[in-house]
Amino acid sequence: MSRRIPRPKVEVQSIRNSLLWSLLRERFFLGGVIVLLIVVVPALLAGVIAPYKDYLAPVGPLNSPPSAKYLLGTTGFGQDVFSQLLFGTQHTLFVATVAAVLATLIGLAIGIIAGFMGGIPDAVLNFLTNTFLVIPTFTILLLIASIVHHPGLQLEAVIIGAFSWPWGARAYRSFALNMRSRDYVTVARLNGMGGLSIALTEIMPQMLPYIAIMLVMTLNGALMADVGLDAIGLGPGNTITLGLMIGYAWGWGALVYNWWWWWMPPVVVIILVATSLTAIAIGMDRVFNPRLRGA
Amino acid sequence: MYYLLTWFVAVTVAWIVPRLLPYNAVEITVSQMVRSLTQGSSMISPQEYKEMVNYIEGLFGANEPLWLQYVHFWEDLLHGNLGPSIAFFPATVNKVIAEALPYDLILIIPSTVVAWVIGNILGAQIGYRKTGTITDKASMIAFVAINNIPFFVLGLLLILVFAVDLHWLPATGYTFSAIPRLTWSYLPIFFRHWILPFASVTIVSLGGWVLGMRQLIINEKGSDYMNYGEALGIRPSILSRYAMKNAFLPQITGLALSLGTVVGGSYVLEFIFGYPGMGYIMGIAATDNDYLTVAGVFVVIATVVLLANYIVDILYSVLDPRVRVAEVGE
Repeated sequence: MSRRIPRPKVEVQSIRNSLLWSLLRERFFLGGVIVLLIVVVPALLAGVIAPYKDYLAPVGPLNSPPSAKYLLGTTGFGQDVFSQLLFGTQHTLFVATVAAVLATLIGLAIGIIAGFMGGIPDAVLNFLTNTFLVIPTFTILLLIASIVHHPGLQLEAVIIGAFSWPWGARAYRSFALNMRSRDYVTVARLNGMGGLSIALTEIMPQMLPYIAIMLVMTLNGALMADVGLDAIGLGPGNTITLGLMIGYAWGWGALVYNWWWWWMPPVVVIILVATSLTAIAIGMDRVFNPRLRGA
Repeated sequence: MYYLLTWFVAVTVAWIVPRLLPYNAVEITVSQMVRSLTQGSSMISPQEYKEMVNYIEGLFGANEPLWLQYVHFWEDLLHGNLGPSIAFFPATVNKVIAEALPYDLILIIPSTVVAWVIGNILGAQIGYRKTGTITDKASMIAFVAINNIPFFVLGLLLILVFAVDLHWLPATGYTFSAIPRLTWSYLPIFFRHWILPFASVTIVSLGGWVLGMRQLIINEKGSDYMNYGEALGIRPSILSRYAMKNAFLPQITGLALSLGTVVGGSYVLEFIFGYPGMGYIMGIAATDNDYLTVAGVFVVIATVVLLANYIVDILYSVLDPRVRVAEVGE
C-alpha cells in the first residue's frame, strides 16, 4: 500500500504535504468533508444556536408545521424540532465517535498482536474475530439491551464500541501479516528491536492511512447501530438522539398523519452523515492506493 | 468442524453476556413478570412471589455453581428447549421463534439473492464501460448514498410514498384481520404487507454489490490476461464474460459476510413495519427485559447465519476450481 513514506526525515515533511494536497484535490474526500462540516459544526454549537436549550420541554403548539418561530415545526409534544435536531445530532455523533475510537483501539490491538505474533495467538484471535464477524452484532447489542435498560449516552457508546471491532481487526491483521515479512522489519528485528517497538515504530506509521480509512468506516457502522438501537426504543432515555427522534415520531404516528417535519430532518441528517463518511473513506482510499486513481 | 466451533462460541456468548454484566438478570426478570401478571387488578401474594423467584432462579440456574449452570444451559439447548417467554407469556420461546422464523426467511433470502444478482450484473455493466465519465460518477455517488441508508430509514421513505401518499400499500407488515395461513386468500394479503420491507432491504443492499462489482471489474480490466485478450482481438462481449467470472468469486465471500449485517439491519426495519419476524420479536422482548426470549432468538439466528455461511462456503468450493483441487488434495 503506502510504501510511499520513506525514511529520510527531510523528505517526510514534503511528502506529507503533498499527500494532504492530493487529499484535498480528491473530490470525494473534499465533498464529504464539506457536507460533514455543514452537519457537524451546527451540532457542536447546539448549546449556542439552538433556539430552545431545553430540547425536551414543550414550548409551542402540538404538531405545528415549520414556521418562522419554529424553524422545523414542533413535535407531537410541542417540542421544537430544530433544537432537538441540533442536540440529537450532537449526541448521536458523540456516541458514534466514542464507539468508533474504542472499536478501532480494540481492533488494532487484536489485529496487530494476531498478525505480528502469528502462531497460537494468531489462531485464537483470528478465530475470535471471524466468529464475531459472522454473528450479527446487532443481536448482541439487543441481548445486552434486554438486561441493561436505558443506558446513558456514554454506556451506550461503550457497548456499541465493544462489539464493532471485528472488521477492523481483520483488516489490521492482514496488514500486519503483510508487513511482518518485509525486509526492513527483518532488519529491525536483527538489530535487536523488540516485537512491540517494531510494531509501534516500523509498522504503525505505515498503517496510519489505513487506520484512518477503517476509522471512518467504523464510525459509519457505529452510527447505524446507534440510530437503530435508539429508534426501537432501546437507547438512552431522558435525552434526545437522531434515532430517538425517529422512534418517537414513528411511535406517535407522525408517519401516518404526515407530520413529515418531525421525522424527515433526522432522516436527512443520517443520510448526509453516512454518505459523506463513505465519500471521505473512498477519497482517502484513492489517494493512499495510487492504483485506484483514475478508476 | 470450524463452523461447529464457531457455533459453540456464539452460543456461549448468549450465556456469558448476561453473567458478565453487573446486573441481576433474575431480579429484572422477576420484576418484569410481576409487572405483566399484575396488569389487571390481580395481586400477588408473598407466597406466590417467593415461588416465582425460586422458579426463575431455577430457570437461570442462579442457585447452582457456574459450571453446572453452563452444563444445564447446553443440556436444555440440545434438547431444543429454550424456556418460557415473558413478553409473550404463556407462549414458550420455541413457539415464538417457530412462528417468526418463516417470516424472516421469506424476507431475507429473496431480498439478499435478488440484490446480489441484480447488483452484480449492474456493477459489471457499469465497471466495464468507460469509467470516469459524468454518468459513471453520478451513478457511483447515487449508489454510495443508497447503500448507506439504514434499511429502516429507506422503509420510512417508502411508507411515506406508497402507503401514506399513494395509498397503494399498507404501512405495516402485518394485519390482524387475516389469520396467517398458507391459503390462497392469505397469500395476497401477506404479499401486500411484505413488498415494502422486501424492497427496502433489496434496494439498500443493491448499492453495495454494484459498487463492489464495479471496482472488481475495473481491477480485472487492468490485469494481464485481459490486456492479452484485447491484444489478440477477442470480442469485448467475450472478454467481459471472462472478467465477470473472475470478479464473481470475491463477491461470493462477500455474500456470506454480508448476511450478518443484513440480518442485523432488518431488525429495526421489521420493528418499524410491524413485520412479525424475529427482529420484531426481539425488539419487543428486549424492551420488556425478556432476556430469555432474546437469548433464544440469538441462538437461533446465530445458528441460521452460520448454516448459511457454511452453504456459501460449499458453493464457493464448487465454483472455484482452485479451492476444489486443494480440498481433494488434502
